[in-house]
Amino acid sequence: MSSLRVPPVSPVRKVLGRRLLSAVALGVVLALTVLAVPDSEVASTEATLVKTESATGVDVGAETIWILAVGSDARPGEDMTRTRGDALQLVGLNTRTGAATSIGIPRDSWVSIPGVGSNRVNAALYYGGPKLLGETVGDLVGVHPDYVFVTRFPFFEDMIDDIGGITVANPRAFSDENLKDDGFKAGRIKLNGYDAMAFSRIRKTLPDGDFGRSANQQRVLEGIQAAVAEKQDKPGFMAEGVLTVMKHMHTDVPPAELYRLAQAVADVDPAKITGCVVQGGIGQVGAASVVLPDTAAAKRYGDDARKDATIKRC
Amino acid sequence: MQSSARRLLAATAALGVVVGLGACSGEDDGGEAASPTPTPSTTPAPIATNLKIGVVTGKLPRAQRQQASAAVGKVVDGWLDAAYLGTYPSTRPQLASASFRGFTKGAAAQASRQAQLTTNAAIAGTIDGATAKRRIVKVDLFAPKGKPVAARANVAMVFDTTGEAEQRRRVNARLDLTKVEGTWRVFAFDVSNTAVPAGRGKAGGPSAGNPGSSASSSPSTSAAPGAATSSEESQ
Repeated sequence: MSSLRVPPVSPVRKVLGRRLLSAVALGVVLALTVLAVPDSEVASTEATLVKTESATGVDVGAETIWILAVGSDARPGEDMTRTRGDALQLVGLNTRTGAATSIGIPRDSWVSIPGVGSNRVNAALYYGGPKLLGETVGDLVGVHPDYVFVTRFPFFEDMIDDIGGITVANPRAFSDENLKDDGFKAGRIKLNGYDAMAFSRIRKTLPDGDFGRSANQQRVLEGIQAAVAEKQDKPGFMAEGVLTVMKHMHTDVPPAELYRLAQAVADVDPAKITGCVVQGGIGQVGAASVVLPDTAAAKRYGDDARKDATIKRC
Repeated sequence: MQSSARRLLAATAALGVVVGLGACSGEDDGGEAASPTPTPSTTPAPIATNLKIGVVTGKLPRAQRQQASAAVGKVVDGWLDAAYLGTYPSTRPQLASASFRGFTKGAAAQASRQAQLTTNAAIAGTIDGATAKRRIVKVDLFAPKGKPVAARANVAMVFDTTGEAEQRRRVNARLDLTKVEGTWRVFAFDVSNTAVPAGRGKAGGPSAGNPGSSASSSPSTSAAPGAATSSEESQ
């Protein structure tokens, strides 16, 4: 994994705010009680069978932060920061409200890459690394990421396994003879590391191809957030998670800052998660089949979510 | 004379904190605090914080664990003392301005907006005193590369109020801290603050980590935090 901290494009805003805890399902509560509370007198406020009102807050410097999450298609031996990005999700977190949103960018989107010219958006990683990819996506959406995180498939799988797998809501059954022969059932399904990778990558058998895959990636991100939030009270869980990320990362982001970001992710309110995929048409550029993105929609998503990390409609 | 007694008791409280620091995750050290010293005063003695070291992620020598935990404990104690155990009657603005000095600016602003829970603001005008019966702070440390950079304090405090709104209350909190310009600051919090129904929330007992009978005594609530301060300053 690789990450890059991109200098903020707007003045740092102070984080103010509050969110109320939603009701915690009994099963989750019991799990937390077992996993997270070694001695009952030092109990997390979420590890209780009595629903209580809590005051919560997290300060990461800015009220809303933007992270470009990139899944690199680097093969063994390749530099993942200089190959093509296979999965592209621009994620916004509003630390005041607990809202989060994700704007999915189909990897074959034909866009302008600063200093390079027109090309597929994922080629920006090859030409200029995480920074150029962040600029390219930022130009498309109109929101420039504060951070760019790049991971590769094996690391991604390890991280999913490290958090004990995830659960996603799969809208339709699908399979892939290469990646997942026995397929994924419709409904709420549990994914281990490999399955999460396959769920995020399969494209050809989806009726909406690249767009459907991008939506599946958002389902995986939502599953990751839920898993982290559920287990964050387990002693040492957040620190171990950050340590795992650090082991797989070439980064200039200090550990303490990573820890704060992780806490911001854990504190997202599941009821306030939104996401859209930038739609477009299929076109030909030379011999290449590409996505011609709806740039107006991409900008609208960015305008909508820039301040509050919420997209009202896709 | 009274001053000497105070110093003696403060030192006893400090000893209690230091002994408490020696505990590691999983140990039942609830009764390990320093043995109580007879208190010359007839008024109930406030109890010191039972400070424990929880999970340490990364390699960190014992002495540094203790130093970091003590420093974190001092920040937490500053909040507990100002937010819940201060001078009453009081007002919401007074509590809000005094309680979050150990928080980052952004976190302090958020906590101030939720002062009904993060302080005693909800009852501050109807009580004339608040006394802790049990206060436990368990500190998890994140120390990559042999240096503590982040901490989580799991806090449990039970206290009794006197006055019109006489009741027993319980504060449970999760505070996340990182260092800001070399000083530990709370950047994230999750706090509940509830009245304990009659017949529940005993301050002592075998399940309590910091029963009043074994906690260090001190003549003022600042004694325990003061001990944590001493530990931090020795770094």
